[in-house]
Amino acid sequence: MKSIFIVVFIALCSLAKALSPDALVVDANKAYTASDFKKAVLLYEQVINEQKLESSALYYNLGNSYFKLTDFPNAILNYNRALRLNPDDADIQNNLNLANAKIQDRIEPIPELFYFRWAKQLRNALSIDTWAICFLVFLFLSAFGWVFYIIGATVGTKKTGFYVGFLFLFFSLFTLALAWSAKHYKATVKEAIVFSGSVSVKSSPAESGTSLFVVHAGTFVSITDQVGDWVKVKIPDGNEGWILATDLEVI
Amino acid sequence: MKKVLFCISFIFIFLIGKSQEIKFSANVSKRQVIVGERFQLQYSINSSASGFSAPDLSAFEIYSGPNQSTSVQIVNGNYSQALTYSFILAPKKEGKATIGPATIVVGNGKVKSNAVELEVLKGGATTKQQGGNTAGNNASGNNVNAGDNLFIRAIVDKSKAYLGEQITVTYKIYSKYNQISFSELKFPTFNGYYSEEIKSIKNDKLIPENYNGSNYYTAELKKTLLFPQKSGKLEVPSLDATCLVREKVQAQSIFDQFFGGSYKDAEVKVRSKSLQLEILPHPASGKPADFNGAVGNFSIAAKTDKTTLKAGDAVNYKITLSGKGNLKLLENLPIQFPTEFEVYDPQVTDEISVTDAGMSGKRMFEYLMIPRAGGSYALGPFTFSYFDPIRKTYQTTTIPKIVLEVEKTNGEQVVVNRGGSQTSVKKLASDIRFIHTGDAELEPIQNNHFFGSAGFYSLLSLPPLALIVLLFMRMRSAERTNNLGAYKKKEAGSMAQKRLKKAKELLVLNNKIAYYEEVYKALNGYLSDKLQMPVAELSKEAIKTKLDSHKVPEPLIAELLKIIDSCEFARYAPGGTSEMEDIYSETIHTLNKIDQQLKA
Repeated sequence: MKSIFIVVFIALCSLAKALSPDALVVDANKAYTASDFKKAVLLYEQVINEQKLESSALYYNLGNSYFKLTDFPNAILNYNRALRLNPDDADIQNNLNLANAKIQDRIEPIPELFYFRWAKQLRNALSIDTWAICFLVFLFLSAFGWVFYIIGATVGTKKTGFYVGFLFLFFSLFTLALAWSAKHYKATVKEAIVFSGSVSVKSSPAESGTSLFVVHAGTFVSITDQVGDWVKVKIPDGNEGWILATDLEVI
Repeated sequence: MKKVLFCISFIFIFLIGKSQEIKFSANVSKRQVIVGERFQLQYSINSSASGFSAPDLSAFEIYSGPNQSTSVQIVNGNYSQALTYSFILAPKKEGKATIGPATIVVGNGKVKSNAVELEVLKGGATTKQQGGNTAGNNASGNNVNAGDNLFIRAIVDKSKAYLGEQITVTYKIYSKYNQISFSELKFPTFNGYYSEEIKSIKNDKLIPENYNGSNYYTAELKKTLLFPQKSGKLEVPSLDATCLVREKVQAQSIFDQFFGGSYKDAEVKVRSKSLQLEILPHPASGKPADFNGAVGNFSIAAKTDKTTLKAGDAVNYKITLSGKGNLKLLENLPIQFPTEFEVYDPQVTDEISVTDAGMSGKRMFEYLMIPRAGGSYALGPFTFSYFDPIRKTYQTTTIPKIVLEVEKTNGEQVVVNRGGSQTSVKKLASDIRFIHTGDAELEPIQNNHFFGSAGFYSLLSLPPLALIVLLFMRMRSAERTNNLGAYKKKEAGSMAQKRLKKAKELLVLNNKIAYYEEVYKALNGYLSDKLQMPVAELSKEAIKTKLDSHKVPEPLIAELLKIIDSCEFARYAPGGTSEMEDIYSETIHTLNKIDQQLKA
């Protein structure tokens, strides 16, 4: 009887421990610092898979652990996931570059036109919801301007209110566009990492298709289409083709 | 005419002479050759030529060639020149072999030689008869059954090895003949290995050995240490040898037997079988980061020739790597020198012996270092990792720490580094940045965003709604401002009522002055609102004309003016309460009537 009680108690304790994700992350960080990268990976993944929690730092740390275990495809996958949540983090970008240098494929991306690049950087500077909040704030400020325009006692106040209202309306529409673009990017643009050691990219979604080129584990691809088990991918240098969805892990 | 004929005949003769001159021919020393037998192929041309291109000789092994030789002859004043290109070849396959024509450039044209056909006979052994009775010296030769009597074995000490692990391969000849000599030994080249020959072979004596139930005379031909450089299946190449064996032949006469019988010398070509080795890669699990391919069993020691010195002085740092394994392949040591040290490439000295037991000994690395700044510097501890193929694990040894005390000097070098001019930050290595240890800011994995949610839309609709409400209110109040006169006109009666009610209270209190004042104000206020005239303009004449224009009957106007008069008057004159009550009822009566008239 007593032993059953103890077993239940221990089970409860472990449950309580398992239920504290922050403690798990702290444990994982300790394991990483002690160079026990395997344990760190297990703990970080537990937070993600069992607790269904995520954060940029969590993916970044997991990516680092995989990097130290020389599992570069997984490292690249997690760095990319971290970047999606925190697009402007220099640490993530730095480590991602190092991991990309370790894989077999070296792909020269097509340089983007500078204004596209700037627009992307601007969009990535804040998260979707932050842009949405900015939009609302500007909208409220704009409305205040209009209020002054409506109830203003003097021509000066009315004029100022009118212009301020217009200025903030412009800002709000601009931030709305960025929020919408960021949401569109997240919802429709799918990116993935190749996980199979070496995959031939076919010209058509079938095993019989002509092999166009070969990509190796760790290569970043954008998914542009899907037919059955096959997905159409585009690698950063602009080449396109079909590979099996099972060879990929979506970011 | 004679002259012309002479010229023509001269040219003709010259042409004939010229065309006769060039002759480019191919010759072989033998028309019938045995596989592997050498023969000579010769091309000769009796003119000066250049640009010789040989035919396809892939069916032959080329031992030498093309060898060019020129000869010049002057006989009786006739000059002749000959150019020869020769090859020494051996056929690879039996059957008919054709050597295609070769071409050469003479003057501006190309000349082709003839093609040569050869008959290649099956390999084996040709014999040269020798001895007391040579039995007719026939050149056709006798075949010696070499298979079991003479062969070469390649023997390895292990067939499975790790990358970099040493393997000993021994090529050994087995012979039933007690006298062998080698006319040719072709040693293999070891591709995919680092090889080191073991020199201590004594092959001057044949050693008897029992192999597969038979006795043989054996000799080691070659013994080599191999260090595989790539994993997977690797071949140990075969060794070719051409041997001369002395075989006893049955005596054909009693004399021969008496003189010890007759012998024949046979030439036998033998080739060892090639072997397959399986080379395993180093295990991935537990591979230390600093592992650089050392396989074997090693120990490492380090020392410096001094531990205290002055900045700018040289110090010798000697690392001795001793043990057994692929010592000669170890070139890089995992040493990181303090950045303030100027370090020269190490001088490597070997005391390595290659014996049957393998490669063992010492390799010493001597680094010459010059500290550029004062301070206390630690060399090490460094770890050196190697793979032990016997224990099948990675081992790590440590190069012990040595502390160097470097005294500052006032010399120029120190000043240069620490003084006025700056040096840029040196990057030593690149590694990933450390993990983020702060608050992880965990959030549930979700695809719902505030952007696009109901909350977002309700907040979004707030400012426009507020503005619309504000505008609406604003419009209402503006309407009221615009129609103030009409409003006052409409409300004039009730305003008068209110005033009169107040007057009634004053009447009860018997406050005469205030009472009249109030009645007066009520009347004035009513008229001002109703007729839409400012109070200041309300003179009796103005009231009369205005009311006339509204078609108010004359007696009513007169009554009203009378009340106004009496009010003005009564405020300053004495009077009773009954009078005040009369005025009050009259006012109400008159105002009601006027009001009815104005509305009509």
